[in-house]
Amino acid sequence: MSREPRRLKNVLEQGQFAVTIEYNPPKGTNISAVLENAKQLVGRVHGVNVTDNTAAVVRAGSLPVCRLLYELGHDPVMQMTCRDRNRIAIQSDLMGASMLGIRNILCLTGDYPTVGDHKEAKPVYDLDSVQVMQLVQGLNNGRDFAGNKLDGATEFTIGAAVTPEADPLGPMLAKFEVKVKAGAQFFQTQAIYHPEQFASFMKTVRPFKVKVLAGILVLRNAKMAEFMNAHILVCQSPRR
Amino acid sequence: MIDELKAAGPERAEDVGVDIAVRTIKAVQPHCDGVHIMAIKATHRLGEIITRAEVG
Repeated sequence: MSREPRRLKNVLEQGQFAVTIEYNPPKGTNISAVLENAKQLVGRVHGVNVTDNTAAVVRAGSLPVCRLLYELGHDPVMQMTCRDRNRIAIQSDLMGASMLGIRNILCLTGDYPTVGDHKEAKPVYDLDSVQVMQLVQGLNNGRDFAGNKLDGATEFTIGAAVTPEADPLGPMLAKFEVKVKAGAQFFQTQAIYHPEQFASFMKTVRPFKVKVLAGILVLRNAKMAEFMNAHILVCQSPRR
Repeated sequence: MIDELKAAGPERAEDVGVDIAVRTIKAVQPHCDGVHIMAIKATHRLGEIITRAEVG
C-alpha cells in the first residue's frame, strides 16, 4: 500500500505557497526517466500534473503515470481533456482514478487533433471543460452525470486553466467566472511572461475564493520562445 | 526574453531560460497562491529552479 502523500488541497487551504510541476508521459512504455526525476522531487513539490495526450500527440495515458507518481509519494494532478472521451468514458476513468488514490483533476478541453501527430483522428468533445467540472462535482456528490446514485463518491479537488495574458482579457475573465461557478477550486495559468500584467489580473480575480498558481514555462532556447509567439497566440513572449 | 535567449547562444540558452524562470517565480510570488512549473524537455532543471527560487 502506498504512503499517503501530503495533498495539494491541504497545502492550498493552509495558505502555503504551492509548487506544482508537470510531466508528459512517454511516447512509448519507458517511464524510467520520469520516475527517476520525480523521485528526486518528493517532498519538494506539492502536486505533479500528468498531461493527457498534450497537443494531441499520442503518449502513454495520464492515469497510470499518476498512479506511479502517487506510489512514489507525490500528489498527482490528472489532466483530463474532452477530445478523446465521451461522458461515459470520462466518468469511468474518473471513478477508476479515485479508486487509485488520485485526488486532483485538471479539466481541459484539449487541442484539436489537427495540431497533433494523428491528424485524421476523430475528435469527441461530447462535453467541454466546464461541463466536465460539473460532472466531477456530481461524482463528488455521489451522482453520475445522468443523476444516478453511485456506490461510493469520488473526492476530487477540481482544477481549471486560465490565460491571464489573453488579449482582450474580458472574455477570459468571463470564462474564469463560469469555471468557478462550475466548481473550479484552483487554477493553473498558462505561461506568465509579464508579471506586472499578471499582478493586475490577480487583483481582478481575488474576490473569487479560488487559488491561482502562476504558470512558469522554462524556455530552453530562442527558437522555443519564437514558436510560443507564433503558435500560442494568447501568450506573447516579450522580446525584452 | 527572446533577445536574452539569442544573446546567450545555443550552449547557454537553457541556463538563461532557467534564470528567466527563477526571476519570473520571484516576481509573481507576492501576487498568487503558487506556481506551476512547466519544464518541457528540461525536467532535469526543476530541482535547481525550485532551490534558486526558494519555493521548496
